[in-house]
Amino acid sequence: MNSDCDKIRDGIEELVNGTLSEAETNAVRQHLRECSGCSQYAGALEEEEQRLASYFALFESNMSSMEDEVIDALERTEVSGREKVFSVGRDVIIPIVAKHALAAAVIVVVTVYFVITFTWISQINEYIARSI
Amino acid sequence: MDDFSDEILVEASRRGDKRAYAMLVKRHYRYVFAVCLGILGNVDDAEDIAQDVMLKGFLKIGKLRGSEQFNKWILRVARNLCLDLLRRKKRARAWATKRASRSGQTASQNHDLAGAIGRLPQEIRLPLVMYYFNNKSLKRIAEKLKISNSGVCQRLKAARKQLHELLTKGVQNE
Repeated sequence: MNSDCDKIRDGIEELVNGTLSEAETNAVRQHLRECSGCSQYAGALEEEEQRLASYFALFESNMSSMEDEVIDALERTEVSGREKVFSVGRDVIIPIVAKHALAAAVIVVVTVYFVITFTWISQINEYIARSI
Repeated sequence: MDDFSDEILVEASRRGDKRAYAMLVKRHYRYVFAVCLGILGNVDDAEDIAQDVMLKGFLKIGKLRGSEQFNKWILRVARNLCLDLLRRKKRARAWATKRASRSGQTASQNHDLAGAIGRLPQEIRLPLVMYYFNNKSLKRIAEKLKISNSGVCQRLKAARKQLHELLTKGVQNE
């Protein structure tokens, strides 16, 4: 293994990923013809790439049945159990009506309070005036 | 229904239309599964969590604001559920390791490819898994992971190097 090998091995990984430029690929291939260590490393990585590709291809072939399992589970899912879904009526109209109703209620309560208090104070004043 | 855009399917799903959501499952499940497998590194867990993600997606679709953002949103749900599981497992593992070290047990070594993938660090495993689920397109992985193309490239290189080491070590130890 010479000083170029580290650099070339970086290139081999990129070569396997398919991200190496043509010029760099040629340089790597040239090195591989001369260096048995790097050539072995490249062979191993290419073999691993094939194993990985076959491994993940297994999922691809099962993907449809995996999706179907999800869809089956979806069918069994209770819609009533779903969380809050945005609705114009519930999320826009009702809150606006509720806000106005609350404001009106507060105004009524405050008005009633002041009327009662005013009446009560007037009666007290009347009583005091009569007593004097 | 195959021709409908995600936006239309999301709107229908919001109203509880399971057929519309099933179409979204057919379109996005593979990417959700890839993210789960990439983060968890374990096929069984990835399958379970990916299913949970899709079902949770249906139940929570009302919370999705932009209908056109379904893909990003569901991948975010996937990532969060996977990280939750990892946190739970980490706690369980810490407890199990304590017990194992007390009884002198050592963790068993798994030398096969799936085991080696599972032992890769998550930050390089995820791009590697996504590489095979996205037609080996670095650009798409970069978009999905929100990193640069060269970032994806570096992570893939690191993944190949470490995977090779793990597999070689495995063979030597056998």
